[in-house]
Amino acid sequence: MSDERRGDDFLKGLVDEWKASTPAPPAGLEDRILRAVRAAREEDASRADDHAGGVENGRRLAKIIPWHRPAAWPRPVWAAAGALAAMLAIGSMLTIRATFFIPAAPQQAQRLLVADALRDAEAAERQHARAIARLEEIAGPILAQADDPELSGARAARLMALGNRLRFLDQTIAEINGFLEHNTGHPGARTTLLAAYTEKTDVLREVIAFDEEITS
Amino acid sequence: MHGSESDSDTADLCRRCAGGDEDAFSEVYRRFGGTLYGTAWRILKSPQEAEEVVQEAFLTLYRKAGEDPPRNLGGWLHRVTVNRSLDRIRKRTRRSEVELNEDLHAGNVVSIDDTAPAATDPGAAAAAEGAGHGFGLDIERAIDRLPERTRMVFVLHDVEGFKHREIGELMGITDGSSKSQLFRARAMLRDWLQPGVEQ
Repeated sequence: MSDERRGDDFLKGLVDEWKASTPAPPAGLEDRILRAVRAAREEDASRADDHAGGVENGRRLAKIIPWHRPAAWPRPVWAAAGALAAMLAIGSMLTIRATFFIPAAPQQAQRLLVADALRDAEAAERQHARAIARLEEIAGPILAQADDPELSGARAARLMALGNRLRFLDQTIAEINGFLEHNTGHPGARTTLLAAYTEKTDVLREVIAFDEEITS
Repeated sequence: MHGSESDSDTADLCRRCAGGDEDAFSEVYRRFGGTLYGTAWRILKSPQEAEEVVQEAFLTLYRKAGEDPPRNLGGWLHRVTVNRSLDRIRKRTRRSEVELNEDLHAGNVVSIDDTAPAATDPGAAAAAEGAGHGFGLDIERAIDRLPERTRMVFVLHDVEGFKHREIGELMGITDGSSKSQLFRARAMLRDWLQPGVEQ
């Protein structure tokens, strides 16, 4: 028998002894695991509730909003309300200016003005959509990692949370687009749509930043 | 590893774990907890981190068991545990690289030796003194003394039973590199632990 072979057998014996002498898990480990699983289950349940609530809010956006309690309005409604107030203020100023200082514009010119504003809004939306499509190309594979068994629980949970936010925003965007098909020039809906696009862009950037953070 | 599980038994356990059934987790822990802890402990050399890694492995089981139940639960958990442990080793390496860079900037480092012991505790230093001189160096201290990558390949192959191909996947190295690291580890260990045998 060669020295090397004898040496390997010798090492194998030592390794077996070492394995046998490895300390047993600490007494409370099983309890801690069960507590961790319980916490994860509760977290999942509460996230599911939040998501369901969010979807529900999205569906009811135009129907059941507690108008008498502004504090309870969802963010898109605040954005729309803010935009509406700003538009009213600007509209009033323009009206006063037009009434007192500028001769009345022909009706044809006013129509062109509305058409221009609408075209600008649509161009801004298209620009957002293009930027989002590019960001989605990068963020897609990152979000898919949430299912990777090699990813730590905390990271997977973070990615799942970001994915859920994106799904909620997608649904909101789809609903507003549906509304705009029949109300093309609705200023509040246009503003809300732009706000939703902006938020989606931010979430996608967050996904990419999160990936850079864990791979750096 | 853990070849005694039957498919239906495993599938049932996984289904229950995915549903958060605590009795199922206790059953899995009773079967594999000790082995998984031992694996993490041998790789990480830290009881606290080993404990955290085993917890993470069980959380992964909770999240993943329902989607794609593994056929060999023990083997699957073993691999997850090794993966998580290697993740932590990589983080440690990155952290120590950052610290080393900071030390270099501060002018605190004199030299860096790749063959220095992976562990830096006084026990390992004492072992390092004895090594190479035929003193009674035990296997655990000798393994600690191996360079980090060589130590990992040796532990994964000779202790945890992984194949070179699997080690390559786990560590992001080639099969050939895994083989050469193992050869190097065995030679160093033989040299330190069995001084009578010439290479």
